[in-house]
Amino acid sequence: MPGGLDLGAVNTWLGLLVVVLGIVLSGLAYQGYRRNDSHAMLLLAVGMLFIAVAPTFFEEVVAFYIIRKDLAPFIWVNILSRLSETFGLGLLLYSIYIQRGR
Amino acid sequence: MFLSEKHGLTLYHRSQVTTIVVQDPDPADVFALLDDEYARGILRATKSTPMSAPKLATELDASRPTIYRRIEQLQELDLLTESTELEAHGHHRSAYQARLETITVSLGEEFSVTVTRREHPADALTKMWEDL
Repeated sequence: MPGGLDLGAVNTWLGLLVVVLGIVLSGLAYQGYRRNDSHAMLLLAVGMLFIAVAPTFFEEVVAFYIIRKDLAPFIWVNILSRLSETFGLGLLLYSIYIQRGR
Repeated sequence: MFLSEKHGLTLYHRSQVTTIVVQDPDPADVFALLDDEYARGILRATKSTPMSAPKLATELDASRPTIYRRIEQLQELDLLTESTELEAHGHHRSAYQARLETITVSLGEEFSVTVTRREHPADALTKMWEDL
């Protein structure tokens, strides 16, 4: 480890930063939904959680149990994260399309 | 649903219909409304915190119909925003907040007014996202 830097800790803190920013943005979008009754903003809020919050949750929390209990190889955690991001981005795209159709 | 802060005419479309919105309100409407003490009172009271209509009626010592009428008039000129507050028992209640920042009156051939309005970050984000 160069200079005694704990890369695992750096990774966790960066993950936490992404989660915090994701929750702030998602909360803002949710407020936008509540204030303007905009269905598209609800989708943005939920999509943001799947993109920014869920993957870190999987990698930090779910992975911990999966590996400790030896349930599945770590690659499944990555696959779960990618699926979550794909679903989240799909929601964002759908949110843009429902506005076009209105 | 949203008016851009640009001057003059704003074009926006929803489905196939293109609507032209005249951005700056009729000066006479603005002067008349601001001449009303309750209209000014509502703006003053909701400058920093959103308030419900019944609360405004108590605060300004006015009848509820008067307050509702002024709220409606202020909303017509887009000087007041309405948001929904969720209460303890799952009831929804409207809260109002002043959008008015400044009004500039200019005299050219005619009187004209330019209104600058405050925008909540969530509304700015909604506008941005819906304009995509």
